[in-house]
Amino acid sequence: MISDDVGVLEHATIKVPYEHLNKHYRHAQKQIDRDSALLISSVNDLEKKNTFTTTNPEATLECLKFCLEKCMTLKRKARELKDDELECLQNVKRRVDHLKEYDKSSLSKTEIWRKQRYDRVLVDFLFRTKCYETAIALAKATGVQNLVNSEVYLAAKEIEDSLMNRDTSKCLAWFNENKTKLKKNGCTLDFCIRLQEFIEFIKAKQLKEAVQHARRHLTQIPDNHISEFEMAMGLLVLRQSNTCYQSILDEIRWQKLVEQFRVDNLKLHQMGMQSKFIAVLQTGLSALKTPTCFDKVTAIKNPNCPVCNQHLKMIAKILPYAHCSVSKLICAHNRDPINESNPPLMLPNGYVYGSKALKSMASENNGKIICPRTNDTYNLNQAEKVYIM
Amino acid sequence: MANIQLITNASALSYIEKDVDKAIESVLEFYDTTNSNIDSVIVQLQQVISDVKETCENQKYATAQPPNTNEIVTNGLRNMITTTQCVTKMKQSTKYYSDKHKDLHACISKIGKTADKCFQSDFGNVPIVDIFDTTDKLKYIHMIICEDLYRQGRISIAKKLIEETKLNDNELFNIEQTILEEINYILENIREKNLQPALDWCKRNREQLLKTNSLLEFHLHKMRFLQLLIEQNYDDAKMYMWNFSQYIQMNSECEKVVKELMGAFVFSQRDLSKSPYKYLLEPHLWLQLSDLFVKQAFQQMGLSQDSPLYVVMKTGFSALPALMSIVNAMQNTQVCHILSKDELPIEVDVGQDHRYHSVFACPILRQQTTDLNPPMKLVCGHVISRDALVKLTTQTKLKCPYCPMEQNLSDARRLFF
Repeated sequence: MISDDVGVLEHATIKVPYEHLNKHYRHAQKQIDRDSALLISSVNDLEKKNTFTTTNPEATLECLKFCLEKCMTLKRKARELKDDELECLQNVKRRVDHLKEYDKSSLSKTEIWRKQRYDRVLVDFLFRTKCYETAIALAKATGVQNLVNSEVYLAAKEIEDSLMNRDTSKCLAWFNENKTKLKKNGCTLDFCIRLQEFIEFIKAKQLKEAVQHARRHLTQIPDNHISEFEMAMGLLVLRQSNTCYQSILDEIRWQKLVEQFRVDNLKLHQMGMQSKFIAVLQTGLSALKTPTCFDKVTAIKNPNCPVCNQHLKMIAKILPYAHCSVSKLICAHNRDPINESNPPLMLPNGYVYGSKALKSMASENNGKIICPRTNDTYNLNQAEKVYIM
Repeated sequence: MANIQLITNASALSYIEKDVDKAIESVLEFYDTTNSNIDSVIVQLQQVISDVKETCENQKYATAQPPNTNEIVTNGLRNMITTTQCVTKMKQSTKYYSDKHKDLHACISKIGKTADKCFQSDFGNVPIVDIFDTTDKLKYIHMIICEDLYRQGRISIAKKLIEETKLNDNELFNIEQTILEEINYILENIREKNLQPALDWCKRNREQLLKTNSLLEFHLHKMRFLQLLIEQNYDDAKMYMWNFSQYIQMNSECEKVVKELMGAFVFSQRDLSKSPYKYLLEPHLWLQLSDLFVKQAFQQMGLSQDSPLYVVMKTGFSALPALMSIVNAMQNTQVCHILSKDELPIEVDVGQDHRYHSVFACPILRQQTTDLNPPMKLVCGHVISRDALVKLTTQTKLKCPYCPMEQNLSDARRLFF
């Protein structure tokens, strides 16, 4: 396991095109089996006819021609499959190559790579929060199109939109296409959708259709959906006005289906359940968060502090502070570090500054110091030494 | 430490690369063999077909003539044998096609397995607060992204985001639209490697630049000069040198850079990219240049120099791996959950550039001071936190933990850093 920032963050970068490759490989195997079976059946035919070649060469000839045709088709299809699989492999390779470009020995390369990583993590987040146009435009402008899996997000968007319009066909088609993998992941979306269709029949007062639908599609009930299923079946007998059943009739269930689809789709494509952007943002905010950012009394405004930014502050509020076991002081006046070469001095009002700042203030101001925070005036010799351990 | 990581990282990637190359090779080999198999089958088939066709025609012809039964039988038998050969060959090739493709699975799935081994698939036990469920938090994030897009000179994308998320422009940073557009225009031009708008901006803002001792204009001139060298426009470059004269006296750093530029000037007539000054051509210098401009422009407006979002993300990218490994280790030893802590479990070095506030950690209690537990100065000048002060006091007296001085609790003074 790599433990640096690549090892921690780039799993999906490789795994998403890999899953794509895997899917195409399996598709190719199916296609190959189908094509082979076709050829074999005509070969078997030929074999039968061949026993009569001496007496009936025309029949053999027909079979031979047929075999030739099948061989030609197989050859053509094999070429298509080859191109397809190689294309998928090249996609994986391109991602690996991109990660290899992160060459920490070259400042220039590192800086550009990191900027690109920032851009693609941002694009990924925009996709996840449904800002599709912004995401596409940013990916294009920053040249990270090939690194952000936009095809997956856009394909998902189409299904989500159709689900929101109460159209289940696209989502069911998606489910069937990826059935094995989804079942392996414990996905129950097909059941939930069929159940929702059943509920819609009830809503439309088409009880007969509802029963038929249930008989056909709701035969296998996943364990954790039994109560939901029973509740829906209850609708057949009870009138809709019954308040206990409001939850199952609620339109919000469609929204829930969309969310369920999102989760299953992210899992299917190995995109990572959590947004990298959010993880990195939270870590960064925590690492920079100091008690001073949230102090009301002594707060020194530093416009450069990102945690003090009006928007980021709202997010940082609930996060832990940075850990700090040794004091790290900076002069509130000129933001120089306070240390042995710039020892701290306290003015009589209790405010501490670096001695360099106070000395230069005094020299510009006839030995007088005006505290930048309280506007009190003092002489330099009134400043007292303090010792920070 | 950094070195070790570098090696493991590179080798892990090279494992995956090897797997991918191996898979590509195997796939190519498989399809090449399949193709040549099919080709030879096709050739054989075509041969047999033409033979059988001939036989058929001979037979037709033979119905008119007295048949040469002997010949017909031999031909028929020969055709039968070659057809059987064909059948066998087709069966073999098809079997190869289907079976060998199944074998490819091993080398393809190897890629996935190696990737799983080398990368962490999720953030382990690092608590990540899900902010998608609260729309107002998401709104703050979209706003900060929007501001960042403005800073990057991507005004049209920022506007798209405002549209898509229905943000309220008024809640974004308080800058007049015309100024944002001006900044955007300059940044777009720098991206296109056109420095003129930025240089013009510097002329208009000379006073501010001088006040902050900004080297923006100098770096713009430097880049322009290098552009002239790349264009092999030596006459203009010679004239352009005059722009540097004012900086040489001003700043020793500039003086050094100017010397390098003169060196580059000498080499440029051969090939700058092969000279010792080739580092002057590195592409990240353009990134730095637009950064420098944004810094200056936003600082002038009293806003943060750097993009707050970029700084946070940069810090996060470097801190996350360490945080993950410590949290995962803590989980293994079943130490209490990190979420309950109000501090991160490890110290992250953000670097002097990103230290924005003083942090005073009480040397006795090893805690950061806050408004409720502020730093206190003892009479002797040593500073500890109020909580520590109270703990060290018996009745009203205490002895400084660092020197022998005895003093009254009431003589301690609150400090403000």
